[in-house]
Amino acid sequence: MRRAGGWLLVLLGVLLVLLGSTTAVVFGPDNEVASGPHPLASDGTAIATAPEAIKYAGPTVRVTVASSSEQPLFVGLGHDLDVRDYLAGSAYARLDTLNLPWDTTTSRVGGTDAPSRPPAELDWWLVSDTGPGKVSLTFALPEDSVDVVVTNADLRPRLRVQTTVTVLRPGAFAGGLAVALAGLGLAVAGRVLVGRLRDRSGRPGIASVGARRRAPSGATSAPPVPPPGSPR
Amino acid sequence: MRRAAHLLSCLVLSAALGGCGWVNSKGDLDHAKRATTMAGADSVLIRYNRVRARAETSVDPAPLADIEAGPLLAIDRGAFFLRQRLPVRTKSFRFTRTQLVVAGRFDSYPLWFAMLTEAAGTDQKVAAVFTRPTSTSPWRLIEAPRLARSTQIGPVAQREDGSAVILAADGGEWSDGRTVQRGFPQQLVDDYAATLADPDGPTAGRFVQDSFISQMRTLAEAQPVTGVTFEQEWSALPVHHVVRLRDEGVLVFATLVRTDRYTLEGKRSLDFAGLEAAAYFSSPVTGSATLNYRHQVLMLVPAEGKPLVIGQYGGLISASGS
Repeated sequence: MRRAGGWLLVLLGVLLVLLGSTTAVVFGPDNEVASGPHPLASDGTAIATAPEAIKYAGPTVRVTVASSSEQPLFVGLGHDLDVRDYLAGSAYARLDTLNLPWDTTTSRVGGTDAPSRPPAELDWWLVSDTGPGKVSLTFALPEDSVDVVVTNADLRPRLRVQTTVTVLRPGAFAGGLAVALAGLGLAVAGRVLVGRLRDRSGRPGIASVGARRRAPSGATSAPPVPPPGSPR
Repeated sequence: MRRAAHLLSCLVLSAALGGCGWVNSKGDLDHAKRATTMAGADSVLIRYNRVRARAETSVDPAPLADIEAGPLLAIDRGAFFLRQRLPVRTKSFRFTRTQLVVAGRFDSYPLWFAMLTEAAGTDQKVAAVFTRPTSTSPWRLIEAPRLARSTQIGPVAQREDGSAVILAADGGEWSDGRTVQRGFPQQLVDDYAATLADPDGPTAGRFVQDSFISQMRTLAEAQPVTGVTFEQEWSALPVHHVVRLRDEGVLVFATLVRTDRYTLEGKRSLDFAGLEAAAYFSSPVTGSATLNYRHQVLMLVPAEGKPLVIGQYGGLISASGS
C-alpha cells in the first residue's frame, strides 16, 4: 500500500515537471506567447471576429495590427450587440473561428453601406486604439459576447493587415519553473520512499524464509550434541 | 514527431491553465447586453448637462437636438421659444445626483434606460429615460417627468444578472419571460387620456383622482365661457418604456397629447396676454386658436389599487390661429 503511494508521488511529480517545464518554455522569460504576424484581408470596410471565435474568458491578450502603409488604422473590442448593429449593411471579412497558435476560418459578409460614423467617434468600445501604421489592444477576455474589429480609421474599404495575437500571463515563467521544481521534488521523494520500503521489507524476509527451509534438517538449529564421554 | 510534441504541449498547457481557472470556456453565448452601467449613465448625464448649458447660455434650442428627442424635444423647444419671445426668466436646468439607474438587457437596438436623478436648484427629481436608436447615435433624453422630491419609488424587479425587468420592445412579454396582459399598458394610458377628456366618463373610476387630473380640470374650468367655445382633446402616444417593480407594481412612462381649441363667436376677440400662448400671437385672436401641448407623465400602477400619475412634465409646443 505504502509502495503504491510512493509510485503515485513519482507519477504526480513527473506530471508537475511536465506541466511546469512546458509552461515555462512556452511563455519564456517575458511571460508571453505570441502567434503572428498573420496576414488578414478584406475588400470591405472591416475585419471582425464572430462572437463564437472568442470562446474563452480570462486570459489577457494583446492584439497588434499593422499595415504596410502609414494609413491610420483602428482596432477595437466591442460588445457583439454594438458591433453587429455598427456593421449591419456593410461588407466585411468575418473570422468565424480562431484557434491559437493560428487556425482560422473566414467568411465574407456582403453589404453595400459603410457605417455612418468612424469607429473612433463611438463611446461603446470596451477598449480601442487608432493610429498610423500600427495599433494594438491589450485586454482581459471578458465573459460577455465580444468582437474584435479592425478598420481603416476613415472606413475606407480594402484592408490588408498583419495581425499578431499575444497571450500574456505575468509570472508564468517563474511559476512554471516553481511547479517543475516542486514536481521534481515530489518525484524524488516518491522514488526514495519506494526504495526504502523495498529495503526494509527485503532483509528480514530472506532470513525468515531461510530459517524455515533449514529447520527440518536440524543440522544448524539443534543444540550441539556433546560427543560421548565428554564432560557435561 | 514535432507535431506530436506540439499537440502534447498544447494539451499539457490547456490542462494546466484550465485547471488553474485562468481560462474559462464561455459555453453558450448570450448576445444580449445591459443598456448601460451606473458609470455609463453618469457620463450620459455629464454630456447632457454640458450641451444643455450651451443651449441655455445662448437661449438657442438648436443644440438640444443632440441630447433630446421626440415629444420632450418639442416641449423644450417650445420653452425656449417662449424665452425668446416673452420677458420670462426661467431657471436653467441641470441634472445633479443620480439616485437610481434602471437598465434592462437587450439583444438588439434600440436601447433605453431610465434613471432617477435630482435637478439642480429645485425640490424635484426627474425620472429620465434616455434612448439610443442605433449604435452610431448618441444617447438622447426622450422622457423626463418631474416628481416631488419626497416621492418614493419601490425597488425595481431584477433578473438574475441584475438587469431591470422591462417590457420587451414588442410589448408581448416582460424581459424575464413573463407574459403581459393583452393591451397593457397602452389601453390603460388611453383610458387615462379619456378620463382627462371626460372626467365623468366611464373610465374615470379606474384611476385615483391624482394631482395631474385635478390640475388639468382646474385649468379647463378656468377657460373663458362668454362668446367663446372652448374644446379640449386628450389622447396618448404609443407607450414604449415600462418597468416592473419588485412588488409587482409597474411604472409606465407615457406622453399625452392635449389640444385646446378656442372658437370665437361674433366680433369677439381673445387676448392671451400674460399667458405663454401670447408668444405665438402678436395680436388678439378674432376667429379661432388652437394650442398644442404635450404632457409626459410617470404613471404608477400599484400591485393592488388604482393607477395614478406620480410625475409630469409638459408644455405648449405650438399654436395657430387668427
